[in-house]
Amino acid sequence: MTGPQPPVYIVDDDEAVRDSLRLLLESSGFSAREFANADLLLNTNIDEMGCLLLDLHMPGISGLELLRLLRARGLKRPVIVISGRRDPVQDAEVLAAGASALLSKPFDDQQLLDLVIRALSA
Amino acid sequence: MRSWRQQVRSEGVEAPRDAADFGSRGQAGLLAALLATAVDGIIAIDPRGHVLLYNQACERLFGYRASEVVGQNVRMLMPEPYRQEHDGYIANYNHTGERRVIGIGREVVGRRKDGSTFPMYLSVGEGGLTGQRFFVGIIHDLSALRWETEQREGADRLLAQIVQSSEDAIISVALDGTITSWNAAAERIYGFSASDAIGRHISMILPPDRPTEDDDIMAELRAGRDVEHYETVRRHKEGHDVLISLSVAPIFDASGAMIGASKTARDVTERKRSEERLLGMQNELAHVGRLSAMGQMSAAIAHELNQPLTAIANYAKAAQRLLQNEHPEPRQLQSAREAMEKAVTQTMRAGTIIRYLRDFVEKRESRRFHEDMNEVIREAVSLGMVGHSHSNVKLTLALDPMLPPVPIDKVQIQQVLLNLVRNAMEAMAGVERRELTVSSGTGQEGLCIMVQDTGPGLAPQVAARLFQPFVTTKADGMGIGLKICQSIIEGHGGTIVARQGGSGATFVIHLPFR
Repeated sequence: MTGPQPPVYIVDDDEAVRDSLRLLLESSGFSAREFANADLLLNTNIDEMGCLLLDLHMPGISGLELLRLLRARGLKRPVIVISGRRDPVQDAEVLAAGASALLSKPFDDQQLLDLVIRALSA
Repeated sequence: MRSWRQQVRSEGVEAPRDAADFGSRGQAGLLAALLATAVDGIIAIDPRGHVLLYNQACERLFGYRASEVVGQNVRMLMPEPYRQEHDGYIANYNHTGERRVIGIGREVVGRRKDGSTFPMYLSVGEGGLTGQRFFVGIIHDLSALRWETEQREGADRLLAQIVQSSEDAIISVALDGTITSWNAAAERIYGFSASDAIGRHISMILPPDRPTEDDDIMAELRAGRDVEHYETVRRHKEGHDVLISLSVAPIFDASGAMIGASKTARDVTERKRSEERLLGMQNELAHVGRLSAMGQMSAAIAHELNQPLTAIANYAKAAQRLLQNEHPEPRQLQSAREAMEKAVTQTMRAGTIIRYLRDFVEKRESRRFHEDMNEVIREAVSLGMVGHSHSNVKLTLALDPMLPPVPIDKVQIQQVLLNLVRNAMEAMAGVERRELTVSSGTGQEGLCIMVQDTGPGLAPQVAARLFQPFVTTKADGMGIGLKICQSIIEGHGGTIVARQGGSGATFVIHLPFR
C-alpha cells in the first residue's frame, strides 16, 4: 500500500457487524469510521471519505434512500452496498441509485478488501 | 236386679255393678270411665261369640255403633277368612282348650263397617262371672305404626334401589376401613362382587403407591371437611388402575357420632382419556401454528442469524490477518485477542436465536410453570420484532413490575404474543404513525396483557368473525392464527378479546392467577 489512505466510512445499524467490518479493514491497513444510522453520516463532513460501506436495511432512512440522497448531493466516491437479503428488483434499484458494488452477508473477506482497494483507487 | 248381660246390652259400656265384686259404686264408676276413655278398643264376647261389651274406642275403630254390634256375633268385625273360621276357633277352644289367641295375643286384621280392613294387635283374656265364661279382647290399632313402618321400609327400599342402580360406585366403610356396603356400580368399576368386598378392608382397592390415601381422607372427614370430586386412582381386581372422581361424606349414628363414611366414585377413565386426546390435539394445533409462524418469519429469521454470522466471519478473518506476520506486534496481538472474544460473543448471540427458535418449533407436551410474565412478554416481543428493525415502529413496553408469577405454558403464551405482535406490525405497514404498545397489569382475578397498534383498526365485519377459523384479510394467510391464540388462552382458563382502539386495534388477554 502506498501512503496514508482516506478512511472507509461504514453505515450499519448492527453494532457487531459495523465493529467487525472496521476491525477487518484496520487489520488490512485501512482506516475506518463507524456510523450507526444515516442521520449520523448526513451530519458529518464526508469530504475526507475514501469510500462508503452501506447496509441496506436500517431503521429510519434506509440504505437505498441514503444512497439516493448522497448522489443527489453530488457524492462521487464509490459506495459498496452490503445486504442481508438480495433480490433482483432490489439489486437493480440499488445499482440504478449509484452503487458501485453489491455484497451479500456473510461475504468473503478478500472479496470485500478487493472492492475497497478498487474503490479507494478510483 | 238385671243380669250383667242385660246391663251390658242396655248401657253398652257400663260395667257390671255386683258381678265382679267391685264392692262399691265408686269403683264401678271408675271402671265405666276407664272403658269409655280407653284409647284401645275393648270388647267382650260370650263363649258363643256374641258381643257383650263394645267400648267407644271400638266405635271409632270399626265404625259401628255399640247398638249395632252388641248381641251380634263378633265375626262381623272380621274380614275373610277369619270370619268363617272364628266360630270354629271358639268351638275348638271350648272343646279342647287349645289356645290360638286367648291368653296370648297376636296381630290380626279387623274389618270396618265400610268393608275396609286394618291391622290390629288383639290380646284376649278369659274370664268368668257368676259361673258364666266370657272373653275380653283388647284391640290396639296398628294402622299408624304399620303405615310408618311401610313408609320407612318403602323409603329404605327406594334408597337401596337408587344406590343399587346408580352409575357411580357407592360404598360405605366403618371407621376402621372395613367395607360395609358395596353397590352394583362398585362391582363393575372395581371388579369385586359385593360378597367379595363387604367385610374386607378398603385398602384392597388402593394402588400400591397410595397406601395411606384412605387414612388421609378419613382424617379430613374427622376434621369436619368433606371430600368432593377428588380425582384419584384405584386398583381394579384385575390389577389395572381406574381413574375416579371421589366424593366422601361422613356417616353419623342417631347420637351424632361418626361411625363411618360413604364414598361415591365416578369412573372418569374415559373422560380423562378424552381430555388427554383433546389436549393432545390442542398441542398439535398450537405446534402447527408455531411452525406456520416460523415459516412466515423464515426470511426475517435468516437475516437475524446472518448478522452475527457476518460479524463472526469478519472478526475471525481480522484476527487471522493480524496474526499472519511471523512476529506480530503486541498491538496486533491485542487486537486479534479482542476480535476472537467478540467473535465468541457473536456465536453466543446466534446460539441464543437458534435455541429460542428450537424451543419454539419443538414438538412438546404442554408444560405449565410459574413464570415471570414480563420476561415472557419481553422475549416474545423481541422475537416478534425480528425483521422489523428497519420498519420504523416505535415500541413501548408498559410492564407492571409487580406482576405475580402465573402458571402458564411459556412457549404457548409467547406464541400468542408473537402472533399478535406480527399481526400488529403487518397492520401498521401501510400507515404513517407506527406505534406498538405492549402492556401488562393485574386485575382482581388475574393479570391482563394488552397489545395495541396504530394500524387501520378492525372493520366491524372483521371484528365480529375475528376468532373464527379460516377467516382472514391476508392474501397469504390461512386464518387460523387467532383461532389458535384463542384456544391457547382458553386452555389456560383465560380470555382474549379484540377492541377497536382510538386509532388501531387492541387485543386484550386475561389470564387467571391459578
